[in-house]
Amino acid sequence: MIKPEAVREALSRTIVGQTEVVDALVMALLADGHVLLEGMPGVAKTLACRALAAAVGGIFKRVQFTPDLLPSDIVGTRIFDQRSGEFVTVRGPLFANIVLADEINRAPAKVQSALLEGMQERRATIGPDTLALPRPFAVLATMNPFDADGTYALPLAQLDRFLLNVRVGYPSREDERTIVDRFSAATAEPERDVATLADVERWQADVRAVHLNERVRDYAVDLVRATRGAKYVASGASPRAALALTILARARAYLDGRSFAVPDDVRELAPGVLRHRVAFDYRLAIDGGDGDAVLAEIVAGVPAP
Amino acid sequence: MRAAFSGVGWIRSAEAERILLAFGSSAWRVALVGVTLLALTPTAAFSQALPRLHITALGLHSDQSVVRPGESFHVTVHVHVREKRDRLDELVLPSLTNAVDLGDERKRVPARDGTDFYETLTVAANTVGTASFTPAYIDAIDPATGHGMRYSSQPLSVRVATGTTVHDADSGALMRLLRNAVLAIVTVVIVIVAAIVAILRLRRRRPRPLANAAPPLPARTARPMGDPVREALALYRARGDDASLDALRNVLFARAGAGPGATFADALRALGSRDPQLARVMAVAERARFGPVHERPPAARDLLVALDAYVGGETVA
Repeated sequence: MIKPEAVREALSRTIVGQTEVVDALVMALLADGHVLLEGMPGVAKTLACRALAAAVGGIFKRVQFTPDLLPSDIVGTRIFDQRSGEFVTVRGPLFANIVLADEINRAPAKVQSALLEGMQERRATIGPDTLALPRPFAVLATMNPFDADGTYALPLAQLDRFLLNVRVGYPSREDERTIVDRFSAATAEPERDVATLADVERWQADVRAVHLNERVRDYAVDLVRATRGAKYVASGASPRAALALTILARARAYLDGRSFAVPDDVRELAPGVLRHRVAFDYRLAIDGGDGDAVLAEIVAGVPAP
Repeated sequence: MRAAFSGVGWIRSAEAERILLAFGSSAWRVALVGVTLLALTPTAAFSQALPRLHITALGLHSDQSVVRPGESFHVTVHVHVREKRDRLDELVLPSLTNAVDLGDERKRVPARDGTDFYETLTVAANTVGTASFTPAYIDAIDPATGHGMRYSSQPLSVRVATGTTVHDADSGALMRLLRNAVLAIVTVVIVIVAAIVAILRLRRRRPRPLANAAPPLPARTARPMGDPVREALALYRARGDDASLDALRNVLFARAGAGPGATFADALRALGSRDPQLARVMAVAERARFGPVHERPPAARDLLVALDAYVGGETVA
């Protein structure tokens, strides 16, 4: 029986370094959630998403978000068929197992909303037809945090739809040398069909059955509550953050081969779950602080059970 | 020239030089150099394939010193490297004699000063005698010298005895049991005498207590080493509830060097590679505390067994 570890290993063989990104993608897939990847161009964000789709044998679609993109470019549209004399529905790239929304903040709010509605409802409406999206379904969105000119920042309510926010950093010197050696001669071809979509659905069901002790659950809730009213925080994380934290803790335990989650699962995942759900106030910028450092302080201030 | 490359082996460089001079032909020289380079290529490729690793610990431990045939036990290979690594595929696991491998579990624990890898083999002994394990090893390049090295653990032997009673054990074990019993009796007598002396001294110094005062606490010096763990274990054994298990976890974490509110990963980081047995006990405690309801009774039993071995100071050569 295939285990999710096989997908992680396949991704690790394709992507040099970036173990946190690989782990986050696999955990989000197990938890049936969506991921927001933030990082500079050229740090393997897109490759990681392609590799994940290839490894599970799913349909992969990539949408490059631009200011002139329309909702119908993502969801689909209705076209008049002259032969039949009827309108037929043409499904957009949202109808895939893994959808890569590249540079999601480059499209206007209307397009972002169409995508995020699909993420939440798991279905899309094209004219009079409401169609279910394929299962499993995951949106992996990328964003460049620095090149902000001509972008439309995602509001907190929409960011909240993402289970995890992963910062993709630069690789180490050793990893960068390996990248040059490996990819200067040939393009990266991800490993295909390591697992099947049926395997993924089975894993997702297994993850929901992973035991979550009440004290681990309380720890997750306490961490989320600690973000509210903390120093430098204008608005804390929502209850959806606690839900995300607990399902991801289960996914991490499952990936590690455990039938139960432990406080370490919650604590390790807290930064990625809270990062995009907490709004920091102007004092942080004045003091030259860093949001991740504030979050780390908040997490360290909550004793683990 | 043919004689120089005969089945005896490769000619040494001095001989080669003489033969080359004797022939005096540049064509022969080029051919010989080419063949030599070809012969050296696999060696160079092999050393290039080795990882550069600062290996600071490589140990092989068992959780049992004596087992019965068919009884499963755990053998753990612990490696600490200073590098931040995700995998350690280069680790070569020990070969087993008189034992069968039932499964293995890998664990990677990031540490401040590198990465710890734990490979736990679940094995069962075949027949009475000795189950032995060859050293685990890693071939790697020592970054300090730039040379390839083989880092090895020590070999491990576990005695496989019949039955569980004293009669079943061999005479060596009986002697050890008797010696331990005598040592324990002598220790207890010394402790009692020391306690009586301490109490008498305290009585001489202090005024007589009031009639309704609480009885004096027993002298702490009379307690054996490892007291907090023993006390927490006794409490957990007596009550077996979550509160006593929490107290026991806290004591174990404190012994590892982690403060209150720490997690298992914190405790492992604080412990490092000092005490692998304590790390195992903490891992079992984690399962007993946070595992699902149906897994908790066996986990609790495992915890008591692991703790008894730990406070009993059992070690394996």
